[in-house]
Amino acid sequence: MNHDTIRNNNPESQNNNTVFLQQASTILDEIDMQYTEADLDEKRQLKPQLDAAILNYSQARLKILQHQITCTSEDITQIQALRREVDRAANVTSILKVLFRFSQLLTRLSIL
Amino acid sequence: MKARSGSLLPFIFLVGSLALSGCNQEKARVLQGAAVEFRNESLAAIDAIDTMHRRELEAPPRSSADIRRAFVNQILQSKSPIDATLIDLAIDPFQPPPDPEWESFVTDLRSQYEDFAQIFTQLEAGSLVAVDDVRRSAEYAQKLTVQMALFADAISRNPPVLHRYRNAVILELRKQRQAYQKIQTKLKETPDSNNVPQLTEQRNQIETRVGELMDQWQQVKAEEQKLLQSTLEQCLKAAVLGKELGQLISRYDDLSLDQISLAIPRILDVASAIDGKDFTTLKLRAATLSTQIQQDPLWNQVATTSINRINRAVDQRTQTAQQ
Repeated sequence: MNHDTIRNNNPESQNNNTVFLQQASTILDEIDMQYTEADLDEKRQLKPQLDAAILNYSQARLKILQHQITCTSEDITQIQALRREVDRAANVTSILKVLFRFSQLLTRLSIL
Repeated sequence: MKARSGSLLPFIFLVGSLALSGCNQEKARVLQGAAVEFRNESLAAIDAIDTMHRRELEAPPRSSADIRRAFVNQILQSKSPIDATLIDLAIDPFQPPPDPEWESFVTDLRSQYEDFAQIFTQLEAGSLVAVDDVRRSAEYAQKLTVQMALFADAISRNPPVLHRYRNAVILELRKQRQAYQKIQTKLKETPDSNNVPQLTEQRNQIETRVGELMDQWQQVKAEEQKLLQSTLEQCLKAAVLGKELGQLISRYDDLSLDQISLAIPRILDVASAIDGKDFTTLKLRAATLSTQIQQDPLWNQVATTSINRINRAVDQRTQTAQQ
């Protein structure tokens, strides 16, 4: 067993969930603001991926509400890396890439 | 005589059983009031959680004039083929996607608490079977209570965020700061220019607007806090009521009708005394309740089952990540 796997409902595992959710929320906010500023053609390109990311975020939040997810420090490292990436994303293509990886990470958390 | 009294025995036993059963039915009826209250508080908590979720993703309202102006501007400048999708997108670019998983979570949750209260409603029909169901309902009540306590704990640790309300303020602040710093640079570089009065006026307008944005931000934060406190208060009321009710049902056979009758008003008072105005107390109470439930032998098994399910999911996820 990975030593990082938290064995129960202790404060450390709950803190990991909180940190993860805050990072995910910041990424989603940043992308949402870029979407708001985009023109209609760019919005059309971004909307399906943005909707998928919103749904994945909503599902991860639901699992955390139900105490069905315990985020590990590896999950936090990955979401923090994505957070840095979203700051560098300057065009639609790079935002789409971040959105795809964001959804992947949240889906992996939510489905198991 | 002996034969007569012998033949009376089954009759006496039958009358005794019916009296006992009648007494149990009375006890169960008294419990019904608390069970219905538990259902009502739980349904109110589910509504609060649902509202919190919807508000987190909604966009700030726009006036009809703003929607029309943005539509005209965006559609005329676009290059994509004009079709139904593009028109809908230009009218409402912030429409949140349908979320069937959330919808089924809320529907399922509501029916769990309705089903629990239904056990007690059957007593109205005079069903003797329902009295046994009431005894068995203790475990059901415990499961539903643990669920409410975990919700309260998770919400207090991960408060709601009105994402798009916050984003609107952040975006405008970024724009105002950029414009302000541009004006400052111009004023510094050309202090004798004819534009100075106009630039100074623009700078004053920006300062006023930024002050308004600070108020707007504080309003968003206050709204988030209100949402958090009302949801937490409702979940806690349901969890506290459920915990007391579960304990009462688990001692159902040992308690007299009078004892149960006395306990019910006290339980209802404890739950109604929970007040969402004092957030620190509310948060502490959510954490304490969660800990109590996990430590109490009566509740421990139900709570451990939930936590084990989480640990299995984490193990599975960790193994998948390592492959």
